[in-house]
Amino acid sequence: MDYKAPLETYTGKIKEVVIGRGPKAIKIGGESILPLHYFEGAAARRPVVALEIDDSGAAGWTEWAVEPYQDVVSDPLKWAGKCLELGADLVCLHLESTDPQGANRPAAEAAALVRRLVKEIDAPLIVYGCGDDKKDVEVLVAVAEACRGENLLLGPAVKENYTDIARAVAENGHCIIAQTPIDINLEKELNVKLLKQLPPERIVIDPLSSALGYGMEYSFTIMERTRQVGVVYGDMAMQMPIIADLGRECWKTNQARADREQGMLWESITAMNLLLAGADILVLRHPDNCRLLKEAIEGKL
Amino acid sequence: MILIGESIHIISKVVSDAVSNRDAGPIQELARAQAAAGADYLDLNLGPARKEPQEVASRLVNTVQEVTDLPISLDTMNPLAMEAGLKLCQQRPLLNSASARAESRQHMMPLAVKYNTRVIISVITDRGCPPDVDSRAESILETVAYANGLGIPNEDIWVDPIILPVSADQRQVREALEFIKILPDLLPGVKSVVGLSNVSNGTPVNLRGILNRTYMVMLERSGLYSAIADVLDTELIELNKGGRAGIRELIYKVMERAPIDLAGLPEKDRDYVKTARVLMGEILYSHAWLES
Repeated sequence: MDYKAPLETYTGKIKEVVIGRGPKAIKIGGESILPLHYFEGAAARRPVVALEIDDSGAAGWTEWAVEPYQDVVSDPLKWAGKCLELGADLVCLHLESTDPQGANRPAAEAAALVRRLVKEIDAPLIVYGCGDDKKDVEVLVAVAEACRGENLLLGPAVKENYTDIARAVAENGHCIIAQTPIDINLEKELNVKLLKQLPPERIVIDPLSSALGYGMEYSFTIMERTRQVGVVYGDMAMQMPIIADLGRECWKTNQARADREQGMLWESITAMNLLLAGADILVLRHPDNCRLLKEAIEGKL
Repeated sequence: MILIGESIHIISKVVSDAVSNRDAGPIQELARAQAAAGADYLDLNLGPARKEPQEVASRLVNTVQEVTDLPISLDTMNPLAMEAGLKLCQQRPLLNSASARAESRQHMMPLAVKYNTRVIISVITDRGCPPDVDSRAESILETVAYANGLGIPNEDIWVDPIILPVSADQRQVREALEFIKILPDLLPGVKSVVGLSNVSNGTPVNLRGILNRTYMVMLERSGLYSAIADVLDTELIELNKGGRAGIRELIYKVMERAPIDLAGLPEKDRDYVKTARVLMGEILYSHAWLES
């Protein structure tokens, strides 16, 4: 008698989000299965890996994470190119220098940089502000306007500032990163609010990614639950792809700063876990880990 | 359902100011208003009553009894305050509350015997609130057996399953419903009681009422005997008296998982359906549950 494995089918489907435009656009999401359950069917789109760059020359980065980019960190354009050469599917720019606690670079300058980058590089671009609620509104709105039609993935939009950012994202044809502090109820609330301004196909969830030993299990639980609620229970407000911006969290741990091998493990193990939890975009710093995670995603490990 | 008015609560600024200023006015006002609204008991919540427990409890009980004949539910963790208050109650009071906790067994439960009160016994143990129906059942069986041993009959025991906020632990909302349902089989003759408003603790203030009311209907259908509740909420009183049958029916339908055509409903009815679905755990809670 033939054995047929019992397979679950689900009612919910994660929305497809397109980042970038033209031939270099990338589609994420679209799965109606649980993370990596490819045996449950649906030739789902597989998760993608982004490498992180910033506009402050990797200031504060652990030396092991800077090593591969030594000669290019002062030029975001070259740095982005290098990331793609080294295997990244897309590039994630953090606009660190706009931080009012730091260099406090004006929004217009940041917008000009992003505009140059998006024209030059050959992959979609994710852009994070510095994380200051108020400054991020200025910066992200300026970026959205300067790059009209480029379909960036822009954020973070948080409870305190989402309205203006979402408006600029909607008016200028981009996608938004909805960020909440590791709390599934707040995550849903922000999604519900954003859905009044944007279609779900323009939203990516960032539930915050904590590093191994620093709360990774909380991030894991939230991502896992998000995916279950969206796919298994069909909750329309939770059917967006997830971004795990984890590289920066891993490389700032004492363990990663103390030792190269430890740093590599910290980032790869955290990434592997959040991949299992349901992340659709992994943002990493080290290209070796980018390769490793891509192999894992392709099932070659 | 028996309603116990919750408004005289030491956490309320009006009440705590009135207590510390020895000002009877605001408290008597709240007592009168709740009596007029239809409360069956008045809860007097003194909290831990650390300062002058006996004096505060006696004063509060007397203050309230000056303006109403309603029986009192005396609510404090402090046995000294409890005893001082119970002594003065003219109607048979409700001791709120005892539990499996060692301290409660030693110092609270004997007061129920000594003053011949009705007593709320919660499922709480020294380890906290049991997480599911089975562990709640296990805890309450043991505690009620202990109370019976002291001479408290089941008819005088009001069991409290402990309601947790939907915004904090959504699953617990249904666990409590299930518990209420099986309680008569578990302990024939006991009554049940909940701190209803706890379900909406942590929810934005303007949205608390609909959660409380919806949950009240669901609990009542599951067999709940009484609730400590916001009796100044007129819609809650109306629902408790059997009014607003349409809304009640809709909530029942959600409990039975019957199909409902949301689009065809007026907004208010739709809000009740959405709320019932959240409480049943069908939809993930967020503060924006009415907006999607």
